[in-house]
Amino acid sequence: MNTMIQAWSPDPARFFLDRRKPFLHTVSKDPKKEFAPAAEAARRIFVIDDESSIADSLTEILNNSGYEATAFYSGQSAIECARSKCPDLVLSDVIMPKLNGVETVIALRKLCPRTQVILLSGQATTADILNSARARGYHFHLLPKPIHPDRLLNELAALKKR
Amino acid sequence: MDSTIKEVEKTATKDEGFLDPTKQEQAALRLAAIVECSEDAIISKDLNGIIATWNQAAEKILGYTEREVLGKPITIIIPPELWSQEAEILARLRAGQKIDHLKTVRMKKDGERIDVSLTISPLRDHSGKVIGASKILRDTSEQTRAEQAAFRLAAIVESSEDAIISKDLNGIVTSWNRAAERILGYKAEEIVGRTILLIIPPELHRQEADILAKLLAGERIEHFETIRMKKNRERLDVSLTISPVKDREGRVIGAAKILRDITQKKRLEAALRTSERLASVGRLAATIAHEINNPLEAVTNFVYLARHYPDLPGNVRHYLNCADEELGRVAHIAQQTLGFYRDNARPAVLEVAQVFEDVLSIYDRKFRHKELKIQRQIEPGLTICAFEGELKQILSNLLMNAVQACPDRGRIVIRARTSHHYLSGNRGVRITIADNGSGIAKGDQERIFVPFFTTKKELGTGLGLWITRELLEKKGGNIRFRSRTHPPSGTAMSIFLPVAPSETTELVA
Repeated sequence: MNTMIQAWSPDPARFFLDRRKPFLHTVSKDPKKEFAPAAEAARRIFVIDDESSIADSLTEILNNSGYEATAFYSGQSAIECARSKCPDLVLSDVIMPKLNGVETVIALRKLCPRTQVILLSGQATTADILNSARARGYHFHLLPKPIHPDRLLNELAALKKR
Repeated sequence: MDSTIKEVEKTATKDEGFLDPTKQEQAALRLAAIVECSEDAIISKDLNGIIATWNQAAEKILGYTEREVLGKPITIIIPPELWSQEAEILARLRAGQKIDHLKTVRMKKDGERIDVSLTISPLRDHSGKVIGASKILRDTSEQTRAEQAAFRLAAIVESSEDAIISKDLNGIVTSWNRAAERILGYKAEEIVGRTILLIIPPELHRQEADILAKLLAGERIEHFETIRMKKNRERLDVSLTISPVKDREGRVIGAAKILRDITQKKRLEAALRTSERLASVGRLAATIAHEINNPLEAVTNFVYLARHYPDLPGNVRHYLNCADEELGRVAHIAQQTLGFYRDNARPAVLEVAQVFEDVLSIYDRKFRHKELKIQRQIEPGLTICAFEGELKQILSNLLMNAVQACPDRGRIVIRARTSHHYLSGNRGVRITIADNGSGIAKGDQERIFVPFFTTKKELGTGLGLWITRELLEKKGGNIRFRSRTHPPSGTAMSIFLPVAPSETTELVA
């Protein structure tokens, strides 16, 4: 296993977590890249997850696929940012400390009524939170965690068509 | 006693010494002594029913002293409702007949009725003419009570739901009630007189010696759970209570055994244990799944990023593709175990064709990889009210099984149409997913819905069909299948979902 990892990167964790590495540029400059670029103007996506590794990796995948994604590690920081400019779409984890994903997107919707929302969750307690939101008239699209990036990108493409 | 009296009578009537005054006197004295010390009441009366003699036992049994009754009619000891009987008795006596062991009721001085047995003989004078009667009255109340008690006991034993068996100290069966016949299959006449070992499985024969030893020590064995054997050699789970049977002197002479068939109870207990185990396994799996979902998401993303890194050496790309596939498997298992706990959303009206397209799209790569031909036969515009996540999980479970069973370039037929529940007649949708794969072996067919049973070795979790069936039954649906392993082999899984799941109404309410 170790030899396999070493074969492609001496320190994979640091490489992927450090977003200042010129990975983005390499991809965008590379004509052989496999990512399908989003047509028209890039859509702004807020990726919210208290687990930074998930927020960062998702953001990177979305950016590589032609979106303009920003990672946030808490609902509050995303709401703060939305005050200056609304995102087109919010992709948020549900179970988070302090402000959970549902409360976050409800607050965001108040600031940005046109923003689309996808929630991600791998936990059973999600159902209760969603049910209480539903009782207040909020309906959100929920995707299971883990979700394969291919499927997530398909979902995003489908959402854009609607 | 009776014979003694007869002897005395004989002496009194036929003895040669009858004419000898000394002998006659002696005989009379002897007779008087016998009468006085008899435990039975001995009363004589004339043919009008007037009491002439009354012995001590009569005083004791009937409560009247001799003085009180002499010269009184015998009817004072006869209950009024039986007075007619007396006339009959007197008539028979006049005709010289003897009355033996007449079971009847007499009345004590205090009015209490007692059960008695009467023997009445005519008394004759020298010429042989009947002049009266001697009556021997035995108090049988005690005996009657004992008999009644015995009858009651016998009735209880016979009507018991539990087998009640008695045996002697050699283990020979001495009684066998009806429940024993029913539970163990032997008729009483087949087993009484034979050894109790007949109902003990050979490997437990040693037990019988231990039981006998305990019984001999006067100990009781209570609720001893063991196994006994029916006549047809079928084993039964039983609970035994065995008590020593003692004689008047307190010596143990045998044992009474109450045997209760607890097979059903044992089965229920086992089923309960299994379901508890499954529930805890489910909870554990769900907890673990929750904990691994987040790291899994992160790893999946990293592998994705790595796979798409430009100019990767071919072997590295291959490794990463393998890693991605393995991660997909882990994710699939985590989601299957979580399936029960997630999707608490409301049921929605879903277009069956659309749901199928969504599910098929997930497995599109697998279909292409195996070059499978998918035939859709879905009734146009068919809709169903269901929980989307659950329905998708059900369909993907069935589809995955079909895909894995199919050979390369195999064929999968998907059929969906309006239908009715085969029992309740409720309207619903029947969906059939058929493949021309290897089929399910006969021996496996009855186990495919058992959790953790899988034929796919390391590829399967053994949970798919179990979860599918649980989900369907929760919704008032069902799953059936047909399968054959010899050509043309294949499996057709058919599920029925009611149009409106029973839970909908509860949710609305």
